[in-house]
Amino acid sequence: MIRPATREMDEPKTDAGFEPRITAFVCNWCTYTGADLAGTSRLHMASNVRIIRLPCTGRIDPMFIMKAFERGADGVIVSGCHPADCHYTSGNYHARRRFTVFHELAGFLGIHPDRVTFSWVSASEGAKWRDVVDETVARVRALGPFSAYRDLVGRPNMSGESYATLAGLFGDDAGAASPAGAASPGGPVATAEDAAGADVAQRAAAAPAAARAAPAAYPAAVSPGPGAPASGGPGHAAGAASPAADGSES
Amino acid sequence: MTEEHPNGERPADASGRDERTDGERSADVPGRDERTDGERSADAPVRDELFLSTESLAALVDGLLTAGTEVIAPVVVGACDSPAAMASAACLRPGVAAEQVDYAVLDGEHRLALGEAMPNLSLKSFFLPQNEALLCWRQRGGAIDLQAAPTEHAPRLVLGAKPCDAAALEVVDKVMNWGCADELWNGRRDATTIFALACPMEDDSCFCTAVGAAPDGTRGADALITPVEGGYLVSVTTEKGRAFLDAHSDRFVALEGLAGAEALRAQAEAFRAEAHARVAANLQIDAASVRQWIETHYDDPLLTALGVRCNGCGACSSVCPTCHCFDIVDEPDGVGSGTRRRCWDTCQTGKFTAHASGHNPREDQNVRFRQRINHKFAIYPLRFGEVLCTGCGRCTRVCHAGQDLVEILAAIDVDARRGDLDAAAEGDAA
Amino acid sequence: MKDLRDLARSLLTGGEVQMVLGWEDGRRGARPAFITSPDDADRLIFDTRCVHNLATYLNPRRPQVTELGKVAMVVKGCDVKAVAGLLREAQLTRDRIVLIGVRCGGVLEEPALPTAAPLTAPTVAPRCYGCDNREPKLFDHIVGEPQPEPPAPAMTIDDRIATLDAMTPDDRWQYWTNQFSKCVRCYACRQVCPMCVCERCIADKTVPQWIETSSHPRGNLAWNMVRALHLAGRCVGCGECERFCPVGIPLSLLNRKLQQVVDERFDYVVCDDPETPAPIGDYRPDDSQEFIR
Repeated sequence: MIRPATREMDEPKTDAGFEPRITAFVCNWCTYTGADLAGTSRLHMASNVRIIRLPCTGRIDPMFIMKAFERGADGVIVSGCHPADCHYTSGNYHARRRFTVFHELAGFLGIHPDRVTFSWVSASEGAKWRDVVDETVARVRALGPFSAYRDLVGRPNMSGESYATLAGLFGDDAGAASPAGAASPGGPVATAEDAAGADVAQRAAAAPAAARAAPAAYPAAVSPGPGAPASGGPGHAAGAASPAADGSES
Repeated sequence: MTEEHPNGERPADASGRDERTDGERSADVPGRDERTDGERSADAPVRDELFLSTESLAALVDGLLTAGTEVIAPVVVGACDSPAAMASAACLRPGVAAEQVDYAVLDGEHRLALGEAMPNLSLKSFFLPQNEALLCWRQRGGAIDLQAAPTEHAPRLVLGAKPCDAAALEVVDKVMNWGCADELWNGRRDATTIFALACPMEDDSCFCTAVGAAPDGTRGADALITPVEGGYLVSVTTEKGRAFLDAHSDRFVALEGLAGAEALRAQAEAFRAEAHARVAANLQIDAASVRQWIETHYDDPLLTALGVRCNGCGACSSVCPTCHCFDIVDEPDGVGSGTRRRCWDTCQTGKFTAHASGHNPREDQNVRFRQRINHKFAIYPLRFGEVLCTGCGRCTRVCHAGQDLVEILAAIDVDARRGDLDAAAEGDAA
Repeated sequence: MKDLRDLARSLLTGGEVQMVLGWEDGRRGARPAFITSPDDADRLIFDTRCVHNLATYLNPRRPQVTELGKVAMVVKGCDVKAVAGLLREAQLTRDRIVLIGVRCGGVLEEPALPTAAPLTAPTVAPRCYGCDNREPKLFDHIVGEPQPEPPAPAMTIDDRIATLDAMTPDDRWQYWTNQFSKCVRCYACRQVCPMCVCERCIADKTVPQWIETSSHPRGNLAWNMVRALHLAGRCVGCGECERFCPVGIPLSLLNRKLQQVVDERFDYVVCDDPETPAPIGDYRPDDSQEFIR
């Protein structure tokens, strides 16, 4: 189970349901200042965005965007100075070409274009920043969580090995008490297994066995119960979205 | 990364220097196989005892799947798996067979392909997965919880293994139990019953008989099945195989007393003998003298010039049933938690021997490719008494740069024999 | 190919080069040849099985060929674009290589044949269709007769990309994540690519680790995306990455897609003139930006 990077990323559940987590990579001289202006002007806007400040959009490597998705972001904003206004003269021109290529490739791979928003927001455009944020949050909220990306880690490979299997044996991922006798370093595996076994079997039963990409997942390390082995590991059946299996991801 | 220390290099032993020679030390290896390659391939003679009809085999498989037992077998895999894309041909690469055969866990969706083309990858990934979690950690306050990977697995069956792939597992067992036991590997091995399927020979890149395996070999297999009219004849090799057959005895018919048994036996024997002769014609080498040659010709241009064509892509290592080197990485998935994983590695990349200082003892592809030959045909035999190769030929087939192990071994063998003849002549003259 | 063999022989005899890089017959079809003696020049062949992009042996990460001295290399039109790319990026100096251009009419998808076969719709390599460099323009010598255009394959690479483009994002995601779940991270694609020249690949960087090295589909997605992005505007379309992939991932679709993007957006097509600047690293003030709010 992939835990959120920091506790602060756990947004409180509102009545509206899912609240997206947005990471924003912004340049220091324009957009960051513009966001500051939005704040000091006390503009109301969605609070789902965590800003990462960089000197210039030219510093932004497409891997930052991918890393954000790997670590739990549901959407990403990339924003900087308008062309011709770059503090370093040409940084955003280089960035623009890189963004073009990334945007096209991401779309070709099936990442929905609404998940990554690019914008030029100047230091005086506090209102525009508010609009970019609100629109992005609304679009990503409509798309739902991007667990499909980070849950790729749990998808079985050709020999059926599933990578999330082990982490699931820890038990409840929201930090509640681990199964009694959780393995201490060097502790016997059998104890934790037995304790976790019932838990795993329960989750395995909850995750629909049909949700397997061929070939099937390797059976979790419990004595063979009736029926199918755990698919993709507890909590990470490929594509499955049963609420119990999804754990606290919301 | 695990790798035996090359001949002559030993780590300083703080607790007391080990004064034995390599030969003496490697004799301590439990289960060290002292037999020659010729002797070994003759072990566990094939004795067809039972008949399994094609229908009974299908019923056996269905029964196992219904009971939830994992069955691994060669199946036809499409060039892509997504139903939407299958319909569109966008996924197909012209020139690549639209259907390929590979070992996979049976799931009722893929067609069983016994005795058809050689599976693309070997059985290795079911015992040493491409990527395997070793343990997970999680910090809780001042303590760290560790969850180690399970080493016990539900019993499973491999049906229709190529004899070269089954034999490879026994070859790798040696290093996996050298010094310390690799419980992850052993756990999977213990849980698996292997039925090998006698092989007619894939093509002229096969050379199993030259390295101590055989298309009708029983090494590594708990039973060997040979195709005959209407089904298969079954020969049991191990207690585990016997136990499986006893547990499913309703599917198998004893040959003794079966009408037409003699004809079936003759068919099976002919199949195996013909296959053996076909493969033997591909390459005949004296593995001992090849090893001797490699050990004494370390800087010979025949070895050092082999790597020039090699791109260092490592495809040979990934398809090889006996290559077993791996890398270990710790992957955090948040603050204070993560997973330690091991994944396949290949000695053909520069990074394999890159030191933190920046020095790399194997700096160019010539040296790296020589290392591959050295390890498989000299170092492993020194340590464990057998070559780290079962002649499946996948490395030659998959190498798109045209490296050819059959050609390389033949060249070394020729040079070795010429050297032997020269030495004998000198001896006579002396 | 008498002209080719004679030329190779004279270059070696005269000492102008220490090695001639071309193709020869191996036990399993055509394969790269490394000719160091004039007597071996007759091993050189050129036919429809000569698929390999020999420019990969000029890669500075793998010096076992170039450290032998000056090298003469037989190059098809696609191969010489890679040489031009290396020259463009200062990974190679022009005086270290003698280019023997060869006029080409296309190659087979699969060179593992005992003799050359004619090109037909099912057997021709799809990347050859529409080739704009059948007569290389960058060369020191040129051999071979002018060849006809290669036949169109049953489905061109562009057709296959169009089919994918017509799918919904979710279907495309399914398709690509299925493909990437096959990846075993052997890095064959990187090793064989003549344009992957970084001494320390980003995938090998561990402090910090940017690309997850594990061969789960998430790490594989990151690796394949990053490689495609780093090749944008540099990939010459030789198709070797796809050919070498031991698990059959259709990498040509990824790289060709970005070739299309670079062409449409930046009006750039990779060519064999080392003087033209690459598109990433260059820019125009009026580059399109309709996707940027």
